[in-house]
Amino acid sequence: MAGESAEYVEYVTARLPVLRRLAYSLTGDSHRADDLVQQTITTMFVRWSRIRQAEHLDRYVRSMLVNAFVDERRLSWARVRLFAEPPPTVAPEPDSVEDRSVLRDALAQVPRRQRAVLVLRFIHDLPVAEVADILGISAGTVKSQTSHGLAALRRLLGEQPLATLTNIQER
Amino acid sequence: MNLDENNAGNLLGPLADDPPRPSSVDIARAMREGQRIRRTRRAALASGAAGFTAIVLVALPFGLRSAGTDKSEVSEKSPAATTGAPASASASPSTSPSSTPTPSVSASRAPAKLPTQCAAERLPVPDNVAKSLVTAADPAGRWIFGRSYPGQGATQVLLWSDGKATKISIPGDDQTIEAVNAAGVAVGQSFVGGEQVAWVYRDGKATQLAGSDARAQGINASGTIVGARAGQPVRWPSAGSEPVSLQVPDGAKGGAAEAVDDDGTAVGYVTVAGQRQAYVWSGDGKGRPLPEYGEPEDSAAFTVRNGWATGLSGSVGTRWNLRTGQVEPVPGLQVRPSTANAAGWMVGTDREGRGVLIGTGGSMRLPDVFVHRSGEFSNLPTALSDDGRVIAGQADDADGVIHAVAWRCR
Repeated sequence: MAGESAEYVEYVTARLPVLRRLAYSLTGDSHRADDLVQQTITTMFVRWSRIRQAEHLDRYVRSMLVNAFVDERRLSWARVRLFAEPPPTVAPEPDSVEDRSVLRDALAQVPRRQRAVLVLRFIHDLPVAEVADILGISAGTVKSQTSHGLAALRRLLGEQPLATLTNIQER
Repeated sequence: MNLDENNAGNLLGPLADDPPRPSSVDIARAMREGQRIRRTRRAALASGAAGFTAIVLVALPFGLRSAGTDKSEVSEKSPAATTGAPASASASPSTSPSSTPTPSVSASRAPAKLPTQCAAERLPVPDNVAKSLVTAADPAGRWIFGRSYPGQGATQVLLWSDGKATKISIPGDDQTIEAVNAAGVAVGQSFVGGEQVAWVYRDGKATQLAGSDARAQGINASGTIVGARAGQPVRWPSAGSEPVSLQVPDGAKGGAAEAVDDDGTAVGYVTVAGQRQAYVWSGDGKGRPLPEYGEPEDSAAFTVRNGWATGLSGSVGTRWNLRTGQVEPVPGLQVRPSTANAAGWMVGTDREGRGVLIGTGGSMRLPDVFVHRSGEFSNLPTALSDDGRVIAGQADDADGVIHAVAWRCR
């Protein structure tokens, strides 16, 4: 047991930066990201004796975190947390260096499941099959959620100056 | 702009960076809480009672029938939350111009004493959909709205009334009803083509509220609706009106109105320097900050009824008495009370994951629907009728699946 706990601490400590980055790309907010990671690593501890034997441990844990984010149970949970709403979208200034924050705000308004699909595919570069695997949905659904999610983003970003966005692409 | 599968990676890729704030993740706390959850689970398994209850409830015939047999527990201890606050004030005017007049339960009719017994029941869900929850109920406890999750990311809005569940059709994705008044007029929102749209639902029909990028959060007895539009707090004086801006202070980035009282008072928050500040607007749209408990970075109000508002100050659940301007912490709950009724009674989840009804001079633990788990919202009452007799919300079963539930009390 003591050995297992030590192993848990070691694993979580090592994976923390990765988990926080993933949580931050999903939630768009530091506080909420840390809430999500905290919740995930608590559940991990509860089930650690089984989880540690998982063949692809990193993948398994990533899947736990993404599903905790998408899961409707968090609907009520999210409502009561400190940051119940994504920060209101800030109108960008044309020469703003805040491109990422504009994008992040827009992404935060995309419905959860679609957002998770976009984040996993385009921010974390995972193939469709793996995204389907993580979310427990079919590859076809990943594709349709991708197209819905991108449509939502286009809509949200529609009024942004194009230059701001093309700057990012040139980076 | 062009954004498609081919360039989405270039555009979104840069978002893979570290959170700007230093980590607040606490591994030791995760282990402590995890340890406690393990213990609670072992205890629940050992007793076996929880699993049995679940089976009995599943076998119940369709219909709103009392099923819970657990003894409710009444504590005489008066929580700090209710001391020094008036039990109730005069009934708010309930002159509803609505077409379907329903006798609304006024505060004066709310019983002075808490119920002594409550029975838990699962609300029936059409098509045997596994996941469901309650999102709103009216002050008389007659109309309960919620939704189910039929799979593939779809949501189905449901209405429970007169013992029956009805599927409600609202266009778009991620549809939800957020509030309903005693006449059964409900408001909510969905996403249509990626844009959030606010709806009013009455007599079986959903009608879009004016204004794009909008969400409706509250409706009162006279049909005034509040919510947010383009990140700004707004009020729709009636279902057919254009949204009217509610005042925000200088320097505020925006905000939202989350609920509206029968006298037209709205509560919510404004966002200043990235933090929320709990806010109240009078019927004429003028706003002022609500007092905070302690010195939190962040505060917000989510519900209001007959002058009682609830919300958060930092991580402390809070109740405001809008008549006196007092703010008080509500201890013993996970995060915050879900709502307060006309008498100021509140419901929420205690730290053991049980539902709790907090009244004047006492509180009462609601019977578990399935199980309770420390540190989780295993039983989460979200709505409370003015007479305290109907409580609705959600509960996790032994597998952690959420179910829409109600507690009937007497």
